[in-house]
Amino acid sequence: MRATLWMLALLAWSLPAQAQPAYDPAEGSGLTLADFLDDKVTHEIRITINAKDLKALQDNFRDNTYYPANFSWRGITVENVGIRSKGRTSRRAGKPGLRVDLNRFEDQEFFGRKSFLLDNNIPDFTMMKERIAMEVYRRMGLPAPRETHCRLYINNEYFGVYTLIEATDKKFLRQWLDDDEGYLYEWEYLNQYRFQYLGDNPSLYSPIPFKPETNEKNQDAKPLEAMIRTINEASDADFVTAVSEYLDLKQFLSYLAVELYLSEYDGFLSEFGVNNLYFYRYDKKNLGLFIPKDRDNTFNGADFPVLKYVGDNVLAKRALAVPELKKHLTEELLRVASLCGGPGGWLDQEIDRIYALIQEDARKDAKKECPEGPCSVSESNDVFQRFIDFIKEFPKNRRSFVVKELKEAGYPLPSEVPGLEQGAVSNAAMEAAESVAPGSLAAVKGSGFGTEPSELTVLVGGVAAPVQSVTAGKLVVQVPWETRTGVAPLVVIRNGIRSEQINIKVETTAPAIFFVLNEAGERVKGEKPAAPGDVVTVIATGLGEVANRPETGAPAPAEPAATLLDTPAVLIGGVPADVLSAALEPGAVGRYRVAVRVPGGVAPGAETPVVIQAGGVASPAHAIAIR
Amino acid sequence: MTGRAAVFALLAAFALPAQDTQHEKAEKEPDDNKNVRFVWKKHPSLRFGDWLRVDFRARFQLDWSVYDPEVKGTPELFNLERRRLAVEGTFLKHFEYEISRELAQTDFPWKDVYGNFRYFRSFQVRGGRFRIPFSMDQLTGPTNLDFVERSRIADRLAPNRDTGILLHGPLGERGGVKYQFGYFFNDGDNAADRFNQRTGENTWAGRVTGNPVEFLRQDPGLFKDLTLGVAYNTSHVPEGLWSLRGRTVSDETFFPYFFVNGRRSRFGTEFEWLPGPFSLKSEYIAAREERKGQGLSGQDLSDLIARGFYVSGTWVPTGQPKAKSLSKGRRVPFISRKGWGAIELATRYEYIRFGSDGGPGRPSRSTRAANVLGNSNRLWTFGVNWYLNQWTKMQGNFVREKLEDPFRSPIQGLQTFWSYKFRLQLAL
Repeated sequence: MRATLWMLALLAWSLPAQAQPAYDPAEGSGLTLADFLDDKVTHEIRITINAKDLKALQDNFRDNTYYPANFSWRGITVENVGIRSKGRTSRRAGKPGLRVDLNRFEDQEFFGRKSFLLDNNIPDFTMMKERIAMEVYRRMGLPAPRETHCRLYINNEYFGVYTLIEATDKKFLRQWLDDDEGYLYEWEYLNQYRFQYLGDNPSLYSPIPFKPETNEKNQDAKPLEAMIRTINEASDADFVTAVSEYLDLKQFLSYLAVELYLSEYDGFLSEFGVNNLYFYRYDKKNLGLFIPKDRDNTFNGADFPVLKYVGDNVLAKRALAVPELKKHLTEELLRVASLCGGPGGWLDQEIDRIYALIQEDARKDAKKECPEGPCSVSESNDVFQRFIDFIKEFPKNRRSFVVKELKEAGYPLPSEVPGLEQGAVSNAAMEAAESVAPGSLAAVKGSGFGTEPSELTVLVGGVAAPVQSVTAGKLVVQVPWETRTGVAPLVVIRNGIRSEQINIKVETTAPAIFFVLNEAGERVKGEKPAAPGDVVTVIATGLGEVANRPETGAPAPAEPAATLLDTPAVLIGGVPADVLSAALEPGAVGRYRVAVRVPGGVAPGAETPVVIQAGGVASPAHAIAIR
Repeated sequence: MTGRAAVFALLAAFALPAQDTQHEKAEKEPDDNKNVRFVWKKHPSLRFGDWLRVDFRARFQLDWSVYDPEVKGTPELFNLERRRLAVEGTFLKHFEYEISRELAQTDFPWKDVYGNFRYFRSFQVRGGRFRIPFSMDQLTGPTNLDFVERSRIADRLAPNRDTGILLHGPLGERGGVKYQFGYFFNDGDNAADRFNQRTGENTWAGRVTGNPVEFLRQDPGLFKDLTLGVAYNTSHVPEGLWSLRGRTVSDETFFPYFFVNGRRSRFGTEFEWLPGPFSLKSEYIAAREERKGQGLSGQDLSDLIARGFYVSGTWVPTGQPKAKSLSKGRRVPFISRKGWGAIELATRYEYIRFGSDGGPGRPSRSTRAANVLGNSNRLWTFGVNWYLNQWTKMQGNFVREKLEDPFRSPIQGLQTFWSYKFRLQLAL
C-alpha cells in the first residue's frame, strides 16, 4: 500500500504542471466575446492613461512604444493593459489609432483574447469601409476579423468614433483554420514589391515583407523563399501543382475577388505593390493562405478598375493565365456581387444600418478629418455626409461595371449572367404589391434567366424557392413556406452563376388577387358579369397559413383541403360578402380559392372593386363586372 | 601587429615569473641627489623632489564569456573588458590625487578624477569624481575582486562613481573606525538611465566601518581582520522612467525601468572577515524609490523596493593569508623559482529582488502598476583564482542564475541560465 502511494505521489510529481489560465476580468460577467464585438450597437470604451504618457504617445505617434493604461467596457475594467499607436498612413497624434494588448504587463485576457485594435477611421471619411469590407470577407467564408464601432473616451475626453477590431491572433487562427501552431506573418510594406523573386537568401523575404507574428523565436523563412521562387520559376505546365504546395490558389483568388470587387486601393493589387495582408503558413506544412488587414481603402467608386494591376503582380498574373483559375476568379467576383446585391440589397442596407448606428456620434467627433487634413467639425460633418452619399452609389453600379470589365478582358463569363432589376420582386398576382408571404407566389424581374426552369435556382432566406415559370425577363417562384417574416435575401442562380443578392420583405400575409371566376369557371368581367346572390371564386395568393399544408413546391391537396386557419374577409363594391370556403387551390402551388356569395347591396358596374383581407392586410383592388 | 596581438604579447610578458629587474635594481640604488628620479617599486613612479610624486598605473583585463543558453546572439567570446591607465600620487605634503581613464568601450570613460587634502588624518577632504561611499563590494577595485563579476546588489543597487565632495578619515586612537560623509551632484553611474543620463540629484551619502573587537583593547586574535559597516544615502529623482533596473550576469534586463518621482534612498550593511587563508563576506542592501503622481490618474503609487544580499567565502589552499597578501592589493609575488603562486577557491550565493511596497489591485508588470509584480534573481557562483605574481591573476567562474518571472527573462519562458567567465588580469 505504501509503495503504491509512493508511486502515485511520484507520478503526480512527474506530471507536467498545468499552466494557470490567464486572468480574465470579464469572466463571470455574464457577457461574451460576441457581446463585445456585437455589431448591432455602438459600444463605449474608456481608457485611462497617465496624462504624461498620453502626451508622449501623441508626441511620438510614429513610435510603437507601449504605455500602461486601464480599459473599461460595460462596467468591466481591465487594469494595466498596454496601448500603442498603430497604423501606417493613418497614424495621427490627435486621434491616434491604438493597439490594445491586454497581456502586455501581466498574464490576462479579455473574453479569452489577448489584444484588439481601435482603428481611428482615418482616412476613411465614411468611417465604415473597413468594417463592411471585413464582413464581406467573412460572408464569403474567408477568414477576416469581426469588427464593430465604438465611442472612445480617453481620460474622459471624447476621442471620436473608432472601429473596434478583433485581433488576428492565435485564437482567431484556431477559430477559422483549426490550427494555431503555424507561422503567422504580418505584411510589412516593401516598396513596389509584387512577389518577384529576390534571391535565394531567406532574409530577403523575412522579416520584411513577411514579418513574423507567431513563432518569432523559431523562425524558418526558407519556405517563404521557396514559395516565391516557385511562383516565379515554376513552368506554366507545373504552375498549379507546384504553387499549390505553398498556397491555396483558389482561396487566394477568392480573397482577391473580394478586394477587387470592393475597389481596394491599397491591397494585393495596387499601384504601390502588395500591401495590407497577413499570411499564415500551417504548422508542419509549407501551405499557407492570405488573411486581409486594413480594408479602409475600399469602396473607391463603382467604376474603379478591377483588373488594371493584375499584370504587374507575378502571382496574380501567372495564376490568371491558368484558365481554370481565371474561371474561378470570375465566379468568385460574381459571388461577391451577388452577396453585396444591388439597390436595396445587403450592402445597401448594411450601409444604411451602420449609418444609423454611428451618424450621431460621428457628427460629435471633433477629431475626424477632411481630405485636406484637420478641419472644423461642421466641415468634417459635410465631408462625412458627402462620402456616405458617395458610398451609397456603390451597390447601384458596381456589379454591372465589374461584369463589363470582365467581359471586355475576355474573362469566361457565362453567356448571360442573371441580374435583378431595381424593385425586382413583387407579389405574382398584382405586381404593384411589393411584399410577399410564405407559401405565396412571387414574381422576380431581371435578365439572364433563360427559359429553362431546370437551369435556375432561386434562394429565399437560403431556402430554395420552386420556380413555377420563367421567361427571359421574369420568373415566378413560390416563397418557401419556411420563410420567416421580416427581411429575407433573395438570389437567382443560373447554371451556378449567381445574381446579386437583394432583400425582400416577407409578411405573414400579403394578399393579392389573380382573378375572380364564376360558377362556370369563367373569369368575371365585362361580358360575363356576376349578379348579387351568385357564388364566385376569388383566386388569390398570400393569404397566410393553412391546415394540412403541403410541402414547399408541392401541389395543394384536394381531400382534405388545405383550409385557411383564419377566414379572410372579402369586400365587393365595398360590401362584405359571405365567405363560403377558403383553402389552397387543389393541385396548384401557392394559389388560394375563396368562394363568396355576391352581396345583395352591390351596385351594378363594369369596374366593381373586389378586395380581400387576410391577417388585417387588404389586397389591392381587383375589378369585376356586376350587373 | 594587430592591436589584439599586441595585447596578447603584453599579457604574455606579464605572465612570466617575476624576476629581479633593472627597475628593482634601480630602486635599490636611488640617487637622492637628483630632483627628478624614476622609481619602480609597486608601480613605475616619477619623483620630483619631495613636492610631487607621480605613480603610473595600468590595468588590463581580458575576459572570455560564454552564456548557456546563448542570450546575446553570437557571443563576443573575447572581450578586452578593461584597459585602464591612471596616474596617482602626492603633491606637496598634504595633497593626494588620482586620475584614471578607461580606454576600452564604456559608458563612462573617466573613472577616478579627484584630489584629497590630508592635513588632519581624521578629517580628510576629497573632491572630484570618485565612488560614492556605499557597498563594500562596489568600493573594491576590480583588480581585487574575488569573482569576475561583482555581486548583483553591488552592481545594480549601489550607486558607483559620481562628482562630489567627501569628508572622511579614521577615528580613534587606533583608527578602528572609518567614516565617510559626502555630497554628490548626482546619484552614481549605476543609476544612469538608458541614455547614460544620471538620474538622481543632490545625493547625501554616509558610511561607517570598523572592527568592534578593536574597542575591547585586547588582542583581537582571529578577529583582527573583521570589519562591520553600515551605509546610507539619499537623493532626489525627478519624474521619469528612471528607476533602478535589474540585470542578469549577461547584462540582460529582468526588471526594467519604472516611472519614479521623489526620493531614492539606499541602506546597506556589510560584513567582512579574513581569518588566515579564508574569507567570509556578506552584504545586504535595500533601496526604496518614491513614485509620486505616477499612477494612471496621476495618483501617488507605492514605493518601489529593491533589496538583496550575498554571502561569499574563499579559501586559499596554498596557504597564503587573505588579508595580508591577496586582498586589497597587498600582494606579494607568488610565482617564482620557488612556487606557482596562490590558488584560491571561491563561492558566492546571492539574491536580489525588485518589486513594490504592496499597493492595490493585481500585481502587474506595468511601469505604472500600483502593485508591481516583482522579479528576483538567485545566483550561485563558483570560482577559482590563480595569482601568478603580484601583477597577474587568472579567474574562472561559473554562475547559475534562476529568475522568478519567466516572462521577464532574457529568453521568455526560461528561468535558469548559466554563465561561464574567464578573466586574465594584469595590473601595475
